Amino acid sequence: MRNITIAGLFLLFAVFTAAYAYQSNKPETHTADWMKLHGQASVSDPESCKDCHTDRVECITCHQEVAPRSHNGSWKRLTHAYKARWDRESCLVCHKEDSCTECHKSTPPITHRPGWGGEGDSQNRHCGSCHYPVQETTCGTCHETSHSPSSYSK
Amino acid sequence: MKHFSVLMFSLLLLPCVLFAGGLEDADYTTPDSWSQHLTADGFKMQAVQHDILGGSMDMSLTTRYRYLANDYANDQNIYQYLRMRYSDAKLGSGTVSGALFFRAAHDIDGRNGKHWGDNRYYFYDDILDAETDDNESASRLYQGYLKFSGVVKNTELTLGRIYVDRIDTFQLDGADAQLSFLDSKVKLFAFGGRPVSFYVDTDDDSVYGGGVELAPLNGLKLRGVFSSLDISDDTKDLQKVRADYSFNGSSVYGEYGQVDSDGYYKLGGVYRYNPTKTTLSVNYEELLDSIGKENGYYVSNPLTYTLYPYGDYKKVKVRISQGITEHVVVGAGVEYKNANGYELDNRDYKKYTAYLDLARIPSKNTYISFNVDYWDVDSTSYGKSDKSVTFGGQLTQVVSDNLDIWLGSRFERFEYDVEDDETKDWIQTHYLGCQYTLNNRISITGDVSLEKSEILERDSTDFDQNLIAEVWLNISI
Repeated sequence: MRNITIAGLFLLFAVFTAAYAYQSNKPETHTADWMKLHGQASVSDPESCKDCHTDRVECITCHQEVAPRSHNGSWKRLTHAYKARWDRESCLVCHKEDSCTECHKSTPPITHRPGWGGEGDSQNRHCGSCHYPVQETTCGTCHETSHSPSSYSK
Repeated sequence: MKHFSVLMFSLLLLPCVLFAGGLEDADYTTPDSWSQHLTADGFKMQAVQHDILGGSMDMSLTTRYRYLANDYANDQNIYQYLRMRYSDAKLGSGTVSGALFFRAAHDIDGRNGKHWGDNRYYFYDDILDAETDDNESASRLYQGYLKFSGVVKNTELTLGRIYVDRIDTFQLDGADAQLSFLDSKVKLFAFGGRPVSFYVDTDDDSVYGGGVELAPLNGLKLRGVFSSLDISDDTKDLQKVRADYSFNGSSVYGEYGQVDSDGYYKLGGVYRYNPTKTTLSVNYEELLDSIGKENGYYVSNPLTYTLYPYGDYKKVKVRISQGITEHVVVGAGVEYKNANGYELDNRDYKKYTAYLDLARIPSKNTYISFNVDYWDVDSTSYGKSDKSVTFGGQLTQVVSDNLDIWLGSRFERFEYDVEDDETKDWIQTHYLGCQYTLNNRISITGDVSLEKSEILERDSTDFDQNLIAEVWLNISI
């Protein structure tokens, strides 16, 4: 990766001297900070957005189709859980809870290895015996009720 | 210490505001490809217009190939997109327009033999794998509609799979109709249909509603919306009122909404003072009642501003940016949330943000941004406090009308408890990409990113470095 970065920097340095200046038809509000401000603007006056984003595909691709760069492997594995606890309202910018359920019904959290909740080789998944009622714990995010030790169904 | 830092930063900003004069013509607009730093999104619409049935149509096909790899596993996905726009076909006294956006996807490697219960669970099992369980092609029709404007005088009717923007946005299979009076100062509207979900069956669900939009003064817009959700044999009534006022590039708003008896409100605005290139944004929101499970349906989430049951909270955000010279912008922000109930999943936090943008230096076709976010999350009876800091830089170099290059780095540090052990992990991500426009019909985008993560390393050194490479090919037909 270091080589890729160095090669990229050399490439950019080579073109720094170019006289070409980029032109943009974007409104002057579209600064780097616009990423943080455009949401409220789109609610206040959606018709203005449609002057340029005529069929809203840019909205769809960014909010529904292509995940942001922050959603890396660590995000999928662990850190999304923290951000969802701290600032779940931000998840709503793109997600409804159907996507949470879709993923978690087939992809258990990293803690849920064979033997989860049991001693040694035991398959006794007994979270409900301590974390009761599960609805008031993180278990309740996926498991609406306690389940039998021998099953993994919700 | 943190409060002191924010105070000092604010004091430093103050003289910048006082002495920042003559910046009216400063241009801090980012290059068109700047959004690549947020999302590696290789779509590029190159509209080649065709005259069809008295209207103008353009269409593009986009193919996306995605490769993910680490020392343990790899995964290949391919996506195909179709985008169409049709506009301005005369019909009676009005016009007909329309749009379509469709995708299909395929996980080339599938998930066979990669079940989580194997030696190590399948690292690249993701939402696409889950989606293809029930929908082999993972096809999604995001939108496909026809819009009749003025065909019946003073009306607008949209039919098909649509996004309805009436304060909130619903994605529906249905219709949205609008009737305008008094030079569009008064608009009545109604909508209805079946909500769209790409993951759950919505055959028995419906959403319908209506409302009024008033524009009594230039820049002032008042809206009231009533919606009713009929989902899983239960009915929820939603009401919202909102006022927006825009003036000289600035705006303020206020909104109140209620799901049955659970309410919330929001107040805020953005103030732009162009002579000194100062932008101040303030937002306040308060969920007045905890959202219980009975109101936490997937389709009502955008209306309740929650995912799943959620305790009431208050949140305030303040953000200021200041142009210093015609090339330099500095900014800072603070966000504070005070939460009640459901303590584990609804935490108090303070978040601080600072950034520095360098516009059009060192060359006229360069844009650079540096930023840092710091999260300080309070402890609860369920757990200790958490902390996180994220900082990084992004650079876009516009080489010519045909070629943009971007690169960036992001460093994240999480401090959290794992079974009462304080854990500190670093994650770093670096990326490099470019978009080349071959001619008015074809463009290609490439993007490579590498993540190095202590979180993943804890599971296995095979996981700690992850590569994602993407290639997008856009063809306008």
